[in-house]
Amino acid sequence: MNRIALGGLATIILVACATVFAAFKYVAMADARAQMELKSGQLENAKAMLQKNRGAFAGGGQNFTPAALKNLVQQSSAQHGVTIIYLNDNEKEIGEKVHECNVVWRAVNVKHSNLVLHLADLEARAGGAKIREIRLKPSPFISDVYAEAETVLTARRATLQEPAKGVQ
Amino acid sequence: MRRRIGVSLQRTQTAFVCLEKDGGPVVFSRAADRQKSQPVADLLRAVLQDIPIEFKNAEISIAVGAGDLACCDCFAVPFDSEGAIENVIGSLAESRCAGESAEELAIDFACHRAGVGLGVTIVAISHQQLQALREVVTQELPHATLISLTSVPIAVMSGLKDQKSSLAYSACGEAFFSHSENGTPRWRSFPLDGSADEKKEKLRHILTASGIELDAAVIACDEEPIRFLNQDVQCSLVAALAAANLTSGSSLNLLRGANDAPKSLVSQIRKTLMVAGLAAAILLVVLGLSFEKDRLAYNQKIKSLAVTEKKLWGEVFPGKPVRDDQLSREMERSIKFAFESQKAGEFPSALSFWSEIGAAMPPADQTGMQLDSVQLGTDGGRISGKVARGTTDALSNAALLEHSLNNASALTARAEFETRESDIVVRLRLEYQDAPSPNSKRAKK
Repeated sequence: MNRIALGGLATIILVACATVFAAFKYVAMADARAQMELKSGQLENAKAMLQKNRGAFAGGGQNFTPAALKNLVQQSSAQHGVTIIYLNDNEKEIGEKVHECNVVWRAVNVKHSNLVLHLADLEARAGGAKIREIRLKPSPFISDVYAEAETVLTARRATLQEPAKGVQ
Repeated sequence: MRRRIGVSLQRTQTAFVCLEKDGGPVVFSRAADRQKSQPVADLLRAVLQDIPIEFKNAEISIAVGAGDLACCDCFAVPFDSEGAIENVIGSLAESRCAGESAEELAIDFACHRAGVGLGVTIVAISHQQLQALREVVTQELPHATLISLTSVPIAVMSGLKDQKSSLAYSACGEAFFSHSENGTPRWRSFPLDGSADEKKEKLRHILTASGIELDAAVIACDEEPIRFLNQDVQCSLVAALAAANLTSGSSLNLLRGANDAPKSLVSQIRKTLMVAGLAAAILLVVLGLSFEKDRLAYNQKIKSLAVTEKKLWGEVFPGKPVRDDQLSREMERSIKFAFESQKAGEFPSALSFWSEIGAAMPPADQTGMQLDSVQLGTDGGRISGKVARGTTDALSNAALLEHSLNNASALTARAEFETRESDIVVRLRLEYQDAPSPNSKRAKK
């Protein structure tokens, strides 16, 4: 094989190698660019979501467990002069993907105004939990006083994520 | 198809044949003696002047005797490739010439496999002589085309391609014989003078010395006819007939070695192609490096985005292990979860219900209302109590109570009244509609 043929062959090999090199580098670059664009897009999307739905993420809302709700009821009752003689909680699944947490308490000889303030305070502080039931038995002797008041505070949450005791 | 003229310029005689077409029969031929020391160009001029007028625009092929060429030889070389031979062909030709240097020669050669190396058939003529022959053709036959110029043995050998038997003939002061050796055609050509018998005897002697059986050989002299290219032709016209059947690319052609001969496309653009290939390779490498630089830049950007993502993750999901590339998805899940939870938590409040009742109820002093029990849920409830008997209408206070409650936008009350001594016992069944639908009472109001 003469030098001309060798030179030609070497040129062809060189061009082929350069083509393969350039092609590989292009593929790697395109891959990196696609990754970068994807990540950048995801980050932009995440920032936009955070701006719009700040309350949906941790720190933006309160997380109540049944125990925390009970604690809240106790605190509020003490604050508003409501004497509790019975306090309990229970949890159950109601329907598909909905978890319910109830706190039941019974108060005696509670003034109407105190009870109303107590319940309003609970609804305000319980992060979406609401008073679901109120049973009142007015005192036959004292005006504006309930001899017995049984109340149920209910919090409901979806169960899309991993099961957790917390109520968000 | 154009007419053909074959011219042979040999040691003692010249000849030409005219053909109507390539491979056709001889329609006109002439042979003439050559004067001693007559230059080959003058000889050609004399021949061309005798060409019939109807062949003035034909294609001409010329076969020149070996003695008038710088070199006409066939030999073996130890090289293994045609390219290697091409590099030294000038030197090979020069060493076989009487006086010309390689630069003065128009050369054409062909290779064939011969044992270890290659066999080379080479033909060469000085550029000066070649130019003189071409000028004669241009001057004498301006409308004709010179398509081939080669040596007599090469022209005859190209006409013997399909001939199996050995051929030995002597004409025009030259002898030629060909035979096959191990399947490879071989030829020899040399000057030969004398009577016909002497020539034949000498040819027989040479054939015998070359190991060729005389019975298998065709031996002829001068005007004797031999079978050549499917026609019977005199020995003196064999070379001219062989030349007439040459084409520009069929055998060695000295016109290809002329200084102004067009080179093949590949040889013309070989260097350009190599340079272009190198340039393309450099360009591609630079392009590849540029892509690599971009890739590194993108990777750097990805790293910086990953840092931002981690920071955002810590802000959005504090305490939760970071999962790469999952921030957006996790946030979507969280939003969906929050939305679903909010939806699940959307139920009426009994406290609001109670508030509505409190707002709608007439003052207790006005109706003498005394509550016995209250049961309120999220969508309804019951209230039982007593109201004072009315002075004119006993149930007026009870009716007022029911009416007042029914006036509230979110309430519907159904009452049961029972007169008992001085009081009216009232049992109310209430329905509560926290969020009004378009057809609800609240919406109508």
